Amino acid sequence: MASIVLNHIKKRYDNSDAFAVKDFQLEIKDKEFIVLVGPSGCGKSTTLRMIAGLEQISEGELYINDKKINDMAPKDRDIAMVFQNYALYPHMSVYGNMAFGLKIRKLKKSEIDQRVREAAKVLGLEDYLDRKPKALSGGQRQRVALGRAMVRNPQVFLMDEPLSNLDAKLRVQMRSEIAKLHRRLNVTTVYVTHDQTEAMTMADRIVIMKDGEIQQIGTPKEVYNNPANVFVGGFIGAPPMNFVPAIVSEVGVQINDHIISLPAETMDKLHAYIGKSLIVGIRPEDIEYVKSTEETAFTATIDVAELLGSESLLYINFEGNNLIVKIPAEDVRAGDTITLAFKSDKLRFFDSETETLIV
Amino acid sequence: MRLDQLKSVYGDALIDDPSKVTNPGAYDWFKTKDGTIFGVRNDHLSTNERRLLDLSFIPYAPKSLNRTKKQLLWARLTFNDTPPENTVQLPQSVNLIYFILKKFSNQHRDLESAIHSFFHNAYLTTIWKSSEEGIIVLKKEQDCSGELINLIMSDFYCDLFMLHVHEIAVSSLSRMYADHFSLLNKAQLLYPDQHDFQLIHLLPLMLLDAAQRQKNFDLTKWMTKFSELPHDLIKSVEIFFYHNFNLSTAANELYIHRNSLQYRLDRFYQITGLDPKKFKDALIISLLLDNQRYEQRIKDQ
Repeated sequence: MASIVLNHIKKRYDNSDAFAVKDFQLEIKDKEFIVLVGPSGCGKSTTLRMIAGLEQISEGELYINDKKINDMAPKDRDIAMVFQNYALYPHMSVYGNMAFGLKIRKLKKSEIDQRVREAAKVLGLEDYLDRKPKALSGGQRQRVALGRAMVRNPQVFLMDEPLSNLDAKLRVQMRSEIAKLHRRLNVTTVYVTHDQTEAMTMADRIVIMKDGEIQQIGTPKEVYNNPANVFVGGFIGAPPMNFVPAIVSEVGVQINDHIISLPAETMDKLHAYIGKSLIVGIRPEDIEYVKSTEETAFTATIDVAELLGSESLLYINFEGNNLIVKIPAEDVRAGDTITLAFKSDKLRFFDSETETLIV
Repeated sequence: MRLDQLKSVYGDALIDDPSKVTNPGAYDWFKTKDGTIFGVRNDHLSTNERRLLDLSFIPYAPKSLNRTKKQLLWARLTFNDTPPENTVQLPQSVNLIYFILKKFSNQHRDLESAIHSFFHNAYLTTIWKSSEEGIIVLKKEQDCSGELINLIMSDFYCDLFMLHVHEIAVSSLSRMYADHFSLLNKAQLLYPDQHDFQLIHLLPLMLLDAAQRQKNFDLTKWMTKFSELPHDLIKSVEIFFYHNFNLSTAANELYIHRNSLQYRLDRFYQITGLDPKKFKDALIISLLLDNQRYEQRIKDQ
């Protein structure tokens, strides 16, 4: 088992000025499931490859169990990798696929056999050991790929978008299988994905990255409820957080002609912004459908209404801003005028220039 | 370049007799025109130095790497243009996968076994140009779309870059291999995130190479102009191309307004006279940007 420390890690390709990864600082606890998430090109896979040793670290130190491993060869790091595609030998049996990595490490046949059968049992592959990959379903193949990593008994699992090639249904199934497997094996895992749903459902903690920089580290709940900046608010959550420009007054915030009163505690934190503009953030589910006219309520016309089953997504225009509202399924249609209200305790305020969270 | 000159540069890292070393896989081997074989430790060679030695000498595949009869036959045919005896039947054409390994720990036999297992009946042999570069020879075309790369990465903990060349006449192997390796070396420098290349996708690189060899066609003026462009303009154009000319999605990725991106593209046009929104101009811009990136990487190395 292993803890990993990435201490001010930087990655620069061929001494160019631009950093692919900038000052990455993270302590991963033993047995933790960490998800690196962000848009393409944000540096998440490069960070994973630096942990694997496939990419040279330009600056900073990398420790596994307090041992500095910057210059340690990848094969000596005691890690196992799982990739996007199934990565199986098509002409080898499931057993052969799982055993191959151990054979080239010159392990004894009996030891290989024991490890393969143990992993097959955990993964429910005991009845498929003689089959070739083409005779397996997509989910079974991905389990074999996990098995190939598992038999090495590594200190750390590194997974690079392992579910990206699967269809939506299988992805949901495999998501829970990987999470279950992690709980059972308790191996420190670093998982890379661009899919925020995967990150939210699987991680103990999420690291959100953009342009080579960490934007926020936190539990799924923390990053969802209190995004560190506008980018995180927009990236985490589907549909994303709504953002509206506003001016701070003595009693609250003014969005064009609409004033939202705020509690004194919030106003204390926004005191320096009185008379200035900021960005108000609100999650789609934190805009309520109200039938009575309350002080904070406003009316809006529905541009588009999407019924998702138990919920409806409403696309509305509020004071010149397009907002998405998520409400329990209601019989509303495009063109209807409805009354809505912001849950004031769920409003988040971001600095207009830096786009970072104020409160 | 003479051998004694090289000796003064590399010192003990240069060995002029393969039989003197117990780990020939740790060296890149070459042959002089008079037939002297020498090796330079691969950890002392940069990509550029390796390329320079490739051009100045004949790459030599030591017997220790190409140990089977079949490997030696194909290595001689490819690297030394020595056809086998008449009794040996060879196919008219083959499919090749040129590869470069990074951080590989000299498990050549195991790697060959993995490659053989992967391609099975389509596999002919693997020939080694050096301890980290080689060619997989296949009887027929195989689609391995990155799967082999991930298998090798996870089993051998090394990075693998591949160039696929389809249906090449066996008689032209010796004429083509140096260009193909050179192309793969360039490609992995230029696109470090991409590991799998098809020859046709490297056509822009080949065209640039050919253009630069033309004495009357000087790219310097253009490259200077591009190098003086603000970084945000270049990045905006690259992202715009990446998003297949879609202003909205490109602007989203850049976290700027669509109109701001439009403004940047117009500005690029004003400065360079090349309009990123027009297909023909975009093609030229893309080539020049590739060239700029490649020259930068070479300079940095």
